[in-house]
Amino acid sequence: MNRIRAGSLLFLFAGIYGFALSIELPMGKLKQPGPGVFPLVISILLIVLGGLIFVSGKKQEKIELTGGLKELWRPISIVLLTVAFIIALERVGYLITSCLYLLGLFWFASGLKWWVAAMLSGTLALASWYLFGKILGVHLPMGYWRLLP
Amino acid sequence: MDVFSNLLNGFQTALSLKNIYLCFTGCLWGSMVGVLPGVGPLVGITLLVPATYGLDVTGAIIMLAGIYYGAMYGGSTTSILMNIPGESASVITCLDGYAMTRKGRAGAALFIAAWGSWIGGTLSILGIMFLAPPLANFAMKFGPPEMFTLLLLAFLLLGSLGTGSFITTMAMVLFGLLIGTVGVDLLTGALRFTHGVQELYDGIGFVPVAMGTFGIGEILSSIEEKVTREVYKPKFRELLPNREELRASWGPIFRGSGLGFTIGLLPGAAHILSSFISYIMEKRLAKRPEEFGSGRIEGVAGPETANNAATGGAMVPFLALGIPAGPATAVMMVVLLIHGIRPGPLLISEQPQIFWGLIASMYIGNVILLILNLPLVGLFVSFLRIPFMILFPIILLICLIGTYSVNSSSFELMILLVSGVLGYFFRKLQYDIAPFVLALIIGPILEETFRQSLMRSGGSFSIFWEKPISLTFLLVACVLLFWNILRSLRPRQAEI
Repeated sequence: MNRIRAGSLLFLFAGIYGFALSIELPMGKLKQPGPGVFPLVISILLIVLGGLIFVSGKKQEKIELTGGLKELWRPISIVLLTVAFIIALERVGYLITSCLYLLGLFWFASGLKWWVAAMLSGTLALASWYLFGKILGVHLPMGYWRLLP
Repeated sequence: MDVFSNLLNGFQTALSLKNIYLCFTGCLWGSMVGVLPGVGPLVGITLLVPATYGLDVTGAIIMLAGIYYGAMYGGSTTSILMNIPGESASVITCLDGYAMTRKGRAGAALFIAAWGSWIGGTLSILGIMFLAPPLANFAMKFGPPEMFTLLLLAFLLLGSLGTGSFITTMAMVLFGLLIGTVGVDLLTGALRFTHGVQELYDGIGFVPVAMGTFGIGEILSSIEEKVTREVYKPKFRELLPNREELRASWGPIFRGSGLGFTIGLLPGAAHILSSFISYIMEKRLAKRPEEFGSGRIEGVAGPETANNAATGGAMVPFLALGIPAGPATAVMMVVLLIHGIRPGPLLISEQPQIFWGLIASMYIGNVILLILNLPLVGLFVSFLRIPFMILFPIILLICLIGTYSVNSSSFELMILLVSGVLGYFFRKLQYDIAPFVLALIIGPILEETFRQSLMRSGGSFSIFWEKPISLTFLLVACVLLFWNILRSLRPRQAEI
């Protein structure tokens, strides 16, 4: 699988998905097009272009999309930590969640020593809470137990 | 004379203490984000969207515009001092800019980049002043068919001028258009692609997608690379160019201004294109083109002027027609919509204080940037010394806060993350992301105008070619489409 063909699969999948759901929407009439017309046309065009890209990728050399699992651990750890942040944010509150999130990023993803990571994460979490919550007036969740302001 | 009296009123608005402060904040923040690799003007603008909620609309747009052109100024600093582009439009500056640094002429390169950016920015503002109002008046004659064919033409231009192939760029546009259909259909109330998820009824927000694909996607991609940076820190007294360098810069600066502004009017990667085309043009005009790449001042002056002039050009379709020419102006459009203002042909006539206040503040902002960028180069260099491993968690957190602040929605944070992963893969596949993001925001307008046109004509497609303006756009779109198809069928030729 080369880069071009890998990319075309995204378009083909999106086009087929859009087509399958669009045909269930009302099409209306020409003088009053329904909500299904536009996504249907876009989906068909996407399938056609995806197919063309797939065919044109036949003669391309195989190119690795990533450097292998070794190089993927950082992006994967960032994604997993971010999922945890999103799930915990409204339950635990912004201050604790952001502190733990930053600690995870600095310690696991950046490879800093634990005490450096702890200091940085605590300081930045507090600073960001003050800047965004107090100065800029952004609503930051306090969590179910309202442990901290 | 009307233009000048309007401009004077604009200066009255822009010269209030509050608006000068906002302009300064925007320019400073823009320069800082422009300096940091991986944090371009789009992320810089989006991060400050929450800060605009408490501001009046004129102040908000003044600050965001300051970030936009400030980032263009700042992007050249890392290109020249570290051979790493601060943002995509400064890629070409790395060639001769860094070569000048290695020759000990970093200061001269920085000075000419700032000087050229100021001239390009100022001349492009003149272009906005004289072009946007008549264009807006002309656009008031547009109905749904004209708007539809114009947007169709804009998308085809995107495909022609994008950094990738025409077919892949158009596929990205179509992908963005499809994502843009998610939610409640405004004309009939039907739910599309929501799968019963209430948070999707309002569609997929532009802010989380833009921040995710550009900001988080860039971080996920950059974190894989182990880059060691060597940063040269010029002394203040080394900042002045010599007489020969100044003389050699004038031509590229003025050519870059015209070129950048013209290309900026077109949707797509205007900044990147303008700097590349300027470089190619200067190389072709040079007496000794073989010296380009080894530290020619023309290789810095032209591209940096062009990319800043393109910023002004991009403001014209945004302010006069309500069509954002790039992701950064698309975010500004979102901010205007949040404040209840719809950019378009009526903006200049109904809200002149916003338009002329913005124009005047851009003049002020350009001066601020010229004064800021050179003396503060030492401070910006200090930012560059912050390891990316410490910087990226801060950027991630700010992206999350910025997205959460829009609707206080954890669901949108998930959209942000999914968009980030998508952006990561787009980068790996070397797909141009800007067309996808632009299509997401313009797509609903395209659909609305298409359906309204057919409703008016009773189902007849002839409405798109019966009117002369619409017919003109349609013909140009057809020519563009056929030209691109022919180009795709020909074997690729080597490019400079």
